[in-house]
Amino acid sequence: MARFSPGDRVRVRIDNPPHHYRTPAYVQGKTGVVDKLWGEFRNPESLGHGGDGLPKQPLYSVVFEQPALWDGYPGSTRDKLAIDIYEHWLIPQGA
Amino acid sequence: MTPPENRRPNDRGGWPGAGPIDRSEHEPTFWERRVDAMQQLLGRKGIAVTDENRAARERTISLQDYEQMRYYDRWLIGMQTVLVGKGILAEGELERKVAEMEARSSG
Repeated sequence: MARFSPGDRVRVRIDNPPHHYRTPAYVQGKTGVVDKLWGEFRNPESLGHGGDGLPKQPLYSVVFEQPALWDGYPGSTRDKLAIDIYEHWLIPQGA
Repeated sequence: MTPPENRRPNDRGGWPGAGPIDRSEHEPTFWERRVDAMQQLLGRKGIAVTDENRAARERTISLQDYEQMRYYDRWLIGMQTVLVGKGILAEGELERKVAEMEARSSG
């Protein structure tokens, strides 16, 4: 069951695990908004090391304000980044 | 160039001093297509999934090598590492084969 719904505010966990992961450092610790749920998929952090990837993890498209991601961001303040993040990296931040 | 917080070379976005992104494109070369096809085959035959190849190249390639390698060079290292790890290729088998072929083509 997916824990988050579109519109939920979430913060990305800060972590640098020794195994393969797909949550880049530049979004870690940042707060964004869930845009959509893509579905549930096998966990690449297990698949990357010969595991079966189970249990499947919900995968969301999460949207961030670009100026919040980059110091001195030179583009428009309205620029956004949408990035796919697995649920176990997300911390609820309330509405 | 130093990755922040001991990040591995693949976790690349936002490193200071990286400069602009090279956005030039090229048609895939025959070699690049073959490397890509090889990885697809490993997946379809149930030998290694993409994530295993990714994990292997992230932990095998040094920062300096990673920066200098072409994209598909990294793929090859990843596949080789996985196949040796699974005992499908013997340690040094590829290098021996390459030496053998080089000797043949120069002889």
